[in-house]
Amino acid sequence: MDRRPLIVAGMLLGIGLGGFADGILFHQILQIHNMLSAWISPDDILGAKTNMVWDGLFHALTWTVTMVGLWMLWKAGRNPAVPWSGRTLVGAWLAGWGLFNFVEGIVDHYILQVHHVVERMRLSIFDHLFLLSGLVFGGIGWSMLRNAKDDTLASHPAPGSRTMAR
Amino acid sequence: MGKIALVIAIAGAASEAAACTFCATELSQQVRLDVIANFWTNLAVAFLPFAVIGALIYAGYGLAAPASSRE
Repeated sequence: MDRRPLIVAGMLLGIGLGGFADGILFHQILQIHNMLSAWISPDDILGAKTNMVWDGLFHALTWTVTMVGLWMLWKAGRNPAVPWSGRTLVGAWLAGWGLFNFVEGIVDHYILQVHHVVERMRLSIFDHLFLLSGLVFGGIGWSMLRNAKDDTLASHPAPGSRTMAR
Repeated sequence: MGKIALVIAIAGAASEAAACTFCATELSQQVRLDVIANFWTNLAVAFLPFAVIGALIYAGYGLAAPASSRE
């Protein structure tokens, strides 16, 4: 049994959907930052529209990552060597979301400072909380993955059999 | 500026030539120029976290090989 294809699929789905959560909630609904809002102020119509283009490119990439994750999940589901474990999938999904928040937070908020969670506050407690959310999601996901390592239910049980030995 | 920036510029010129009332406003031209300026730098910045994450997953995939497939 090799559960890595399912873990990678789940992580890619977590990264893609985590990116969408960031973009939809922070960029669009709350409008507290945009992709390049520390470099190009979104406070005038030109800056807002320019940031909108970069938000769109960001969303195009998260959409692509999500689609690749879906494709890999489909492939994993057709591979009898991959254990079909909901705990593994959800754990990997959370780990992927946490990895996205942590790496995006470190790279974009702290190192490059291309934007911050609440742009008008610059680097603030909210950036630390965003980073912390990455660690928490990642920790929960990692824990779920560890607990699910003995899940061996095959995605393709042999004909006539409804269950497989764990 | 690179091929993509050139394509954007050509598309912009084409839309202006067609007198597209939706996509050839003065504001949209300014937006296009702002996007083209530092396009590759901004693209690298926007996508850098994904490259880092991809590298981490690639490295982790090898490290997490099942015991049976390790020599």
